[in-house]
Amino acid sequence: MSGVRIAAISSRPLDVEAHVAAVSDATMGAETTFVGRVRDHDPDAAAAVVALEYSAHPDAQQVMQRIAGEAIAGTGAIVAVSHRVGRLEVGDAAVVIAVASSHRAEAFDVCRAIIETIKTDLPVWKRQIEADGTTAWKGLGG
Amino acid sequence: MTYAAAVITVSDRSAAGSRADAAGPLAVAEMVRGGFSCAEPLVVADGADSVERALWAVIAAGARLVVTTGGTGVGPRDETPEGTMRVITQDIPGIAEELRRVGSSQTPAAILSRGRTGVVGPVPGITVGALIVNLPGSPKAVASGIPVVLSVARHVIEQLAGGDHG
Repeated sequence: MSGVRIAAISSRPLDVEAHVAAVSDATMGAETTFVGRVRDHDPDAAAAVVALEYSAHPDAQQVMQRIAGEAIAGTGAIVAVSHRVGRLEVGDAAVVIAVASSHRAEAFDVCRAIIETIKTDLPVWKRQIEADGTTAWKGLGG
Repeated sequence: MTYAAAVITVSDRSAAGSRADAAGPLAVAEMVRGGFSCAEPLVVADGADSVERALWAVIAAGARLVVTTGGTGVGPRDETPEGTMRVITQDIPGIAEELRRVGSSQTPAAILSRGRTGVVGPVPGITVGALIVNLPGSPKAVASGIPVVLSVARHVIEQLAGGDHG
């Protein structure tokens, strides 16, 4: 069985417990999770942030699979990772990562590597919606 | 039915903030006047990669009509047509030809635009289909081009979605 248990782009709310359950394994002594949430402020925003709209390239699912696979290559770690798309309100989870490994250092390292690579490589983009009605694309230049 | 449209301004200088974007807001205003909903222009740097990313972002966010302005010439950084062709699944050369024809009645340089037009077909979970049009970067080209786009956009969008097009 592959060490990548979930690598998904999802339009539904993300379930942290389901990700933890997917990596649960009797041989693994360390389990860590990361949750990326929509926050209510941004350095470039004049008003409060009320929501983010995420949209994805058609290849995003495959890229997520590759990111997860490369992060655990050469380790014994197991991973479950999802990125949500669509309109998310403040507090909603945009990214959920669960990693299980035999030891804690590897679990933290793999989890960190996945979120960093998602930030740089995953073709998912966000438009920020502010309280005054202003919208701004993030991460697309301009 | 009000369809969502998007405008992408492709310009190194506007993306860097050293030149105000004149063509983009004009395109938005014209599309709203034509019955589409349309947010502020998304301003991106020149380059095939940045154009491709921006197109997918607005299409996946629901845009059914996308107009780009800029990057259609023969300068070394003019790669809007190349980025666009990575996204388009069916070329519609007739719209681009008409844009050049209408433009050249005002300025001979209009025939130098390499702008492409076409559709991206349905991609499950991403889009039900969208029409993409490259316009040159000048406000004049936008002013003369948008009416051409609006004259067929609705028909294309509805045909893409499998609607009655009789």
